Amino acid sequence: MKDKTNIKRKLLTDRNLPNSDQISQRKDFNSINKNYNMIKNGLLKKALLWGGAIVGTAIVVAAIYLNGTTTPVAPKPDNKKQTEVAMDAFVLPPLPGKETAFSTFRICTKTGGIINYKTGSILSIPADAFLTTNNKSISDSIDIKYREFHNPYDIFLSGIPMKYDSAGTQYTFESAGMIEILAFDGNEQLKLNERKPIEITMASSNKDGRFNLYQLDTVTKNWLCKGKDKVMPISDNASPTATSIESKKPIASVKNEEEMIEPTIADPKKFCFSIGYNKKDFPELAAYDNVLFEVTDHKFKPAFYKINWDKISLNNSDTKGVFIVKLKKADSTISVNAKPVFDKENYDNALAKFESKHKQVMEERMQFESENESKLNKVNVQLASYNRRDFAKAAYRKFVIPILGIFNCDYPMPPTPIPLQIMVNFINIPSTDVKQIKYSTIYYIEKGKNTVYRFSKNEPTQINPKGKNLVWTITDKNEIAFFSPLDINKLSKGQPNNIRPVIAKNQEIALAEIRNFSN
Amino acid sequence: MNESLTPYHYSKERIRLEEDLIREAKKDSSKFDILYKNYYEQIFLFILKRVETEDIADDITSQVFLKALSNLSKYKEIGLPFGSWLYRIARNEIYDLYLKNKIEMVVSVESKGVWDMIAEIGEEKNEEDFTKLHAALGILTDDEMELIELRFFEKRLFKEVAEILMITENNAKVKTYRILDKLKLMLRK
Repeated sequence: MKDKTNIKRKLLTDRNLPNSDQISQRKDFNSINKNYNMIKNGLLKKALLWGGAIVGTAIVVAAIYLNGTTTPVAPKPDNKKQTEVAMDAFVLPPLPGKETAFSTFRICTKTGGIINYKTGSILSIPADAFLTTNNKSISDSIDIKYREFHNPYDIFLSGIPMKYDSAGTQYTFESAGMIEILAFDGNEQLKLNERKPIEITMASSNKDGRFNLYQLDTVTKNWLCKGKDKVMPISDNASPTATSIESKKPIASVKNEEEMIEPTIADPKKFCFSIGYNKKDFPELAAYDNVLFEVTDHKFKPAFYKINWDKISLNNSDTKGVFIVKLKKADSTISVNAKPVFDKENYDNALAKFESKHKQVMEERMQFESENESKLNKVNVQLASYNRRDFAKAAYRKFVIPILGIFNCDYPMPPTPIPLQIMVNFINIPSTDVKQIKYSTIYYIEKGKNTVYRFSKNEPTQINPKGKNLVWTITDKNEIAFFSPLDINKLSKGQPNNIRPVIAKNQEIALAEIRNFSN
Repeated sequence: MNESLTPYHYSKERIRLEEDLIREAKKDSSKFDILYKNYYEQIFLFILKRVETEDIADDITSQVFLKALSNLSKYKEIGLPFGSWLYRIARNEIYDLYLKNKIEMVVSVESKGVWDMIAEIGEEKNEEDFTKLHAALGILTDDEMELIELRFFEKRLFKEVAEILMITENNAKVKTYRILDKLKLMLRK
């Protein structure tokens, strides 16, 4: 690491600096906004790696020279940034901002709660389900961000990969519904306490039982099979019930910091210490007087009891109701575990205090939960109503998730003999009225299959010529360009085909076309 | 030395308009576009003058605006142009990358700036002094060099120098003239 106090700078005199026009060409707000949205949505690490940018540039240059374009061009900042993001992010929405937005639900972590999503899905959040990244529990209300992807249009815009590698064999997932769930305390992203899994009853347009549950592992960049979901076909009047709806009653426990330790009588056969301590440091003991600390540690020797210790101090341990007593003499310190107890004279008084305080805490807790639940339900009903949209439900699929992230009810479609392989080459026509376009991915959807096939420009695009297909790409200028069905019908198997996608004049209309085809 | 208003220095009315834009951008990141366009060139040049290549400057500039957008919720309006915040982010970003051995730092010396310094010191303009002063720049401390860069090679007002370095305007002046005194002594050696 270099030292900031001794910076060595190279002096460059009268450098040629670029002019305004040259600098303007580097402006690329879309890229900045795209990265920002990915950070905001937790899809990109907060700081992009500086080294990644340099490597990214090299990769783009290599790709441009390898892909067969007739006129290699230097990478523009936009290309470079896209590669940079691609290296960091596994999930890459092709048109940032167009993907299904998260719905945000505020929930009290102490009580947990039920979330009703606009599609009819139900999330059952247990109490104390969230932790900070440092494994600290959260006591306040937090925001849960949740969204679902149900059709090829949603999947396309999500950028979520649908390829699944199992023992080296590549499958494409067909989805019966996919969810993404995240949790935030302010700007801090939270994780789920694995011992407090969330139960999700997801509305699905597919009641087939052949689907498994997969979790997207963004570290290994693959889907992990998590077993099967439970399918509950929808009858005419049926509505889903989350098992935890019934259990969503206030839980009879008190907040840790307010919780007093229930008094016990000292065991006359065990060693006890009377230790002076600051009541503010031990709120669980604050209401009591004349507390004794009974040694529970087997390593405590009777001889210790006879020593006139210089200092005896009390400390908290990781276990509730157990304290660490530190005995110090000269340079030696001995730590033993102890629990608070009362002698017979003080026990009744301590018990009365415990019962009184416990009752008070319970009453406050019940009132808090009642008020909070009412507020949260109101907000969630408003949000669900605001977001509600038509959704052809055929079933509910119930599953439990032990971590937050992306989960998919999927069926891996086995790799069948390739019906048609096409190598798509650009036609780079040197004409003023035909734009030369650059793209990186070809998207292909087929009627009746709830998935999106994505092919990079350097791999053969596989298309089922007998299917009803829609094939398109996105240019480097975020334009949607469709491949004409007429052109696709003329493609020859197993050999490079030249095909020119037609850029849609209006992105919204093009998206509507994909949306309509998806439904 | 003649002082000219750089695009950074806006009127109070312009700063108020900027604050409106910042408030809008806090709600909708796409509104940040206007601020980005307004400041891109000056932040890019500020960075370019301190690093070796345009590509490095381009990368750092992108990081600066991304950081600004990501931390916009923390931005507090204190009556200064938004640019002063961007300059500080840029400065930190450059130092950060330098300390991590990712980049080398450079000083883009302007000959005209060196002549201005000679005039400010009160010496006759001659080639020998120019050469001596140019060489003397290499032994300035980092803090001193930063002031000289901002004031003489980038022609910034003391007010602006102060805002970028987070010191008072008076302090910026005092420090600058102390550096000039130091350089004057070197010239006379």
